[in-house]
Amino acid sequence: MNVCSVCGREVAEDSEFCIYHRHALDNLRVTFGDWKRALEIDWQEYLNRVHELDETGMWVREIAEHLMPQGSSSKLQ
Amino acid sequence: MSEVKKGRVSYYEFKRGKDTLVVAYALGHLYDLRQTEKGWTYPRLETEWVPKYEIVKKATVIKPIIRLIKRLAKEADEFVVATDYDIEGSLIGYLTVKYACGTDPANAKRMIFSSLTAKDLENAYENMSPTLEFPIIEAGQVRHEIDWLYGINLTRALTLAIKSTAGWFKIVSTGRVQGPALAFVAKREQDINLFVPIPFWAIKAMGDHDGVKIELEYSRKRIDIKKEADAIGSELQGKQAQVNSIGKKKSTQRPPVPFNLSGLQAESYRHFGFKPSRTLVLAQKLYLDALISYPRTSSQKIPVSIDVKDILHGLSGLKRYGSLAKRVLDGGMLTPVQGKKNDPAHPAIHPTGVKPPRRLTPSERKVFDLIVRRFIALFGEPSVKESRRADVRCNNHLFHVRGLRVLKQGWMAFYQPYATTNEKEFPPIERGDSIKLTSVHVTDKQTSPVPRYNPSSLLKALERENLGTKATRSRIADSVRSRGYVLNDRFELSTLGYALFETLERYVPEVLSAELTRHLEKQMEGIQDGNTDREQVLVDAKTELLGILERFRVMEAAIGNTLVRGLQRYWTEKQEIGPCPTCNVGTLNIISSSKTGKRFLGCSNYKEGRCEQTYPLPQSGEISPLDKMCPHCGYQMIKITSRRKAWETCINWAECPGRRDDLEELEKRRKSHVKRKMGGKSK
Repeated sequence: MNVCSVCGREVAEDSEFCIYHRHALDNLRVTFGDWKRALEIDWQEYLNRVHELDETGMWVREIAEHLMPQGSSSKLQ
Repeated sequence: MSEVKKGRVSYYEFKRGKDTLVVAYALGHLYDLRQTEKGWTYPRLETEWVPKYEIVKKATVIKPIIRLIKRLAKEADEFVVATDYDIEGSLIGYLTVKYACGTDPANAKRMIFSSLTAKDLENAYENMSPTLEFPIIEAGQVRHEIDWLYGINLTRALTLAIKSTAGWFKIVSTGRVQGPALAFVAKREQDINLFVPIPFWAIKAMGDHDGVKIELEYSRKRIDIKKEADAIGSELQGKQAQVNSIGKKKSTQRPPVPFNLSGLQAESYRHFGFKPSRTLVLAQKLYLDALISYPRTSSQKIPVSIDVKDILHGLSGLKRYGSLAKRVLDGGMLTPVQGKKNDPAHPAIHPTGVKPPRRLTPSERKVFDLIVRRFIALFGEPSVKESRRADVRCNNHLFHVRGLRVLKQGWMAFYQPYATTNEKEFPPIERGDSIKLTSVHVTDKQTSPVPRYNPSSLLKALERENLGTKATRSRIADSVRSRGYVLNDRFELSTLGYALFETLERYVPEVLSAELTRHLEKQMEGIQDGNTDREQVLVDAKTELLGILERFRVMEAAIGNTLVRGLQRYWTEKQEIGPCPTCNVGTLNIISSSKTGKRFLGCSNYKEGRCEQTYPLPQSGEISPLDKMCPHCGYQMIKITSRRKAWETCINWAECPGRRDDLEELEKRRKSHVKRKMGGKSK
């Protein structure tokens, strides 16, 4: 069984993540536009900031943490 | 009237005219459902009613009650059911007449009342119904049967799936309403976990006019681009603004509507923090003392048949409410405000005007106070408020200055301290005045996720979706917590809750579906209204359930695996308290000593021989980590919850300088306890 590299759950179809972390990544991508417009920041800075906020959801924080070391070269951006 | 004691139980006997009346009580349900086929397995679809003590071992007081009723019934010429007039009460009466009295319920009569005052009871006796309310009884019976079928079979299916996978016997329960309630909580948790905040900026300004400080509110509550917000802040700093216009608006507010159960529960949670189930228990006690009307009602109406004048006269004799009740009586406007919801069985919750026969507990007094003041407020005039708004301009930017005052208290005067208005004084400014902007602040903000459910909002969600009944909803909200599916009163889903939700959603989503439960509720209402019969509803429910259980059986191994993985995660998390402050690598876990059986905190790095840090723990109560550090020593805080109380301390409590006084006090008490014991022995 292929497992999510973030939490160890079974991966969702066509994804390297489980349904929750895939969904969290989708939300992260959608919201990046708002942050970029608001603060003129790049993807890496965005991940850092989102990761630090108390309001950020647990799965979003986990996927942000997972993506942070990959930097702005991440294919998942 | 005299009470006749028979061992642990009693009955009452008195004369009325030529008749001798004997009043015996039940204690909730005396009979319960039991499967007729043997085996702790599923499916089990056939049931019978048996005395409750045959199923629930703790229900020992039921046996002497049934025995007493059986004995008294032999001498009786006529049977009158005088239980609460609702589904459960009617069913309790029916089953008692049928099985304990051993008579045909068709011959029994029924007293119907909404409060336990002598006047209401006498009236109910004089005007009793010649028959029992069979449609309500049938609906009650089928509700019990369907709840039993779904609860027992699905719980067994889940539990046996775990047993066949891992060999553990761990009961994991679900039920007809508990499943959808869990789904509400889980879906809310998912929304929170998937939430990405979005930044925005708000502008707050303070101004000065003739030495008076004025708070100004920027007309745009949210600015989405930081550069723009900063530019506005810099542009406006120290500038003069002009008062362009001042507007005034009067608004009236009618009194709040009479309480139904969910209204009372919500208000009680808001003001006192009482869980809905607790409010119901307190209201039930007040009802049994004849202080308030029947609390399990959906009605928000006080019908004309209720003598409100008499109730207000009664309340005017109570020290706390006398002056308020007299003001209403003197005003002469004795028509209460009415709400929209109706309940044909009972009126809205109201006081009876009877003086408390005993000293109420502080919690009972709070709920009673809320009910009485709400009732008196129903007769109040509308309150009148005046809001003022000045539009203040600076360049192209618009600010508002606001004020609010109460012109007439009206009903709010009766509903204190529960009715509040945040009055705000409007500053002494006029059109054309200028205000100097002394400080303009740009504040960083971000959007927030939807809040988690609390016991009150979950109850409202169940009511909105028409799941459960007014009597059962608060119990369901409690059961989601007591099963370990949520962590606390904030209804944060536990790993166990997640595991169960994920499993059910994937393999048997019908169990989580509000639609299925709503459909069954509708059918049960149909029985009550005489549109369908019990047998048909039961056959449909069994067919539906069998389909679910068959699918369950096919996937039992997969379901078992998912649940076992979830349980393992849950148990691991329950043992974890936080990172080890000594090695900063391992995790502090709750460990039980194999020698002494006593528990303590130990570092997970112990086995590798890398960290030997341990901390003592209190030996009773459930321990959970808190998201804060001790203000005295900086160590992780924990919460200990026992049956009687919950308290907080730090893991370093034995050494913590801030807790030395507590420890000394504890030691003192221990010594005096030992001394007392010794003294007792020597005598």
